Amino acid sequence: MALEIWTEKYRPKSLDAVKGQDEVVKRLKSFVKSQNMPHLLFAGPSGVGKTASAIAMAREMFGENYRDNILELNASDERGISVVRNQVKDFARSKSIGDGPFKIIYLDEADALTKEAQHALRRTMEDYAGTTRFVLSCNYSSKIIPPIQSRCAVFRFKPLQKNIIISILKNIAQTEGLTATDKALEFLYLASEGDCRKAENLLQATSAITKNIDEKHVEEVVSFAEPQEVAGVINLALEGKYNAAKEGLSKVMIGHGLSGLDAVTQIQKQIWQMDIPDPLKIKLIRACGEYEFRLVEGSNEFIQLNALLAEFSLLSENDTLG
Amino acid sequence: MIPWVRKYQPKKLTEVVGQRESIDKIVAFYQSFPRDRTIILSGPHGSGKTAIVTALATQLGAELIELNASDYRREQDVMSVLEPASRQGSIFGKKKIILIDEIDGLAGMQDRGAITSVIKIITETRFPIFITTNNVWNKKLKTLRKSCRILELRKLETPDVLRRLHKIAKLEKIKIEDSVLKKIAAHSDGDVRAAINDLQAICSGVELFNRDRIEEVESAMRMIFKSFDSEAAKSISNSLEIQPRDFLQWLDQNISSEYYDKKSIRDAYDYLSQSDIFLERIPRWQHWRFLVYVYLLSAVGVQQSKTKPNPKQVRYSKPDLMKYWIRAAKLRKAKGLAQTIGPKLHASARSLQRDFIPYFNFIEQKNPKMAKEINEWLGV
Repeated sequence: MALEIWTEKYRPKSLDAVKGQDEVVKRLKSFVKSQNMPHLLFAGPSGVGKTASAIAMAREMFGENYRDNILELNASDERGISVVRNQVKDFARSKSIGDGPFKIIYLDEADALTKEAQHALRRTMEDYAGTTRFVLSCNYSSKIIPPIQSRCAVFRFKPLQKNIIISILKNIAQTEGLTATDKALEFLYLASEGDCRKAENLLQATSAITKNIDEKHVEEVVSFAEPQEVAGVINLALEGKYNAAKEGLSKVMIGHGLSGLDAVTQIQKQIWQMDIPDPLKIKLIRACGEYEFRLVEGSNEFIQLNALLAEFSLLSENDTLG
Repeated sequence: MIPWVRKYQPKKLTEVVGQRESIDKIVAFYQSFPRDRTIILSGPHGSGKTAIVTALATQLGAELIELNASDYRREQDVMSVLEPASRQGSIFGKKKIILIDEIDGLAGMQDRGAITSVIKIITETRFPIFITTNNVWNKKLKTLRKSCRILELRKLETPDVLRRLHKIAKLEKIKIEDSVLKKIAAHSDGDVRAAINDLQAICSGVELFNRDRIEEVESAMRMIFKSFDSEAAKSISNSLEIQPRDFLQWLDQNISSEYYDKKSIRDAYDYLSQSDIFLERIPRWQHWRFLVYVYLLSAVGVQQSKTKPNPKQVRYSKPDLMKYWIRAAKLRKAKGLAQTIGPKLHASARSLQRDFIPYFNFIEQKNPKMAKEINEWLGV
């Protein structure tokens, strides 16, 4: 028997089912009602309902054949803007099934496109404005060039509140015949960091070990899925055991398939939770910021991260020397 | 440089690794033509589908008409090739074999029109047609399945892949440790094409492992790490014949075994990091003069960062290329997976790797039965 992934199984089927984004939903509904809309820009953290809203809106706008009227693309997967352009061209030209007034192109992770690619995208948006509407999705709207922003109605998605995530999880647990203690739900929320997709994946993974979930079970999944070794690596660097730290970090990155950016994110989060003097803590955070920037600009992730660890070692030594 | 996957494409069926049973069935299909006119070869990436067909064609001296994903942009183009090809004899008066590679990528496959024309062609063709796909049970291929013979190829075993790698390493006369070949083979997960590409990628770095080169680089390292002679360090960019990328990797590998105080290590890495940034800026801005800064910041910057030279003799080690390669291989795998299951989960390669795969792995380990059911839903 095939088992559906819960993020899909419980994907909102209508705009009303999109939780925690009342302002956004209200405005999207008015587009459905008037059967018209401008280009849209969805900005907000991951797992708060951007894709879900776009799909739910398309469903309400186009009815059962909505799939033929929405094209989903992911900017970070497509090789260059020319690919996006061709796909858009083919899609915009093919005749729509049903009587939708236009077609929707949903471009996820639009902030992964370079500035040049975004300018090309702007042209494409204009060329096909008669038959298509773009919905661009990104984490930070500031990474989208102003000429595109000015052509879009911007929607800001808020991080999901604790009670919303917990009520979504409770609903899934009930439908799936699971029980979860309050502490377990609390823990799921904390570990998800407000990302509903992550919360649902965590819950589904936990259901692989038990039907009666308490926080121990959730913890087991979290410590399996998230590299715990990062804390160890930071400690080694702070203790001045540089070579061991360097080796440890490569191991974590290779073992977990972390990208450089994922690694620096983990490092930054860990540092915030560490029991070290605040002045040192903020110096380390500043170093994270600097090297996150260099990672984005540079080419060799290992060099940049090793440099960050070297910075940590020195900062911590200076700190103890006083 | 020719990609090795092409250079070492099997020319005879006996050269194809593994898949003995399947090959027998394919030969039987060919010989019984036109009892069945078309066969679908279904199997995972790099299991040898295309290789078997091209080897068969070469062995028979037949003309091979091949259509692949790059021809599939427009439906009309495909038909305009396929239709005449399936009717007219070979212009060279040879036997003829038609290969439709990776049919899943065919534009308009969902569209009734396209599939009807394909079916018409494959039932009337005068020449055997081979179709390849990763998954014959794909919904899109439902109608097509009824008009073709189906053959499912299994994933290759690691020893099969390893045998091929050994052979190529021997023909290329490259010295490479057996353990590395084994790692590549195991990592490929039965994808012989990926394994050969990886081997070639690693061996393009092996060039830098030849004895003279290594001595040259080692003496450059010694000069940078032990002396303060900035002119000598500057001249490295002219004398050293390795790629700047590799040069930075050498420094990264050795800085912390040579320098021992925190300040030197930190300063050296600061320069190395800046140098790496300039390296990335060259292609982005098409500004080659940045290369000057790449070399000055790395060679002279690292050199001048030490408080005092380390009196100890240090053995310099070559960069750990496996490290880079494993990373790249993992990413490529995630990309491949993203193509198949990404659309179903509305997720990009990066998001799959971060938000889904760790949890799938957990389920796989703790509850294989559940994992199997999920895979079924995902269609993998």
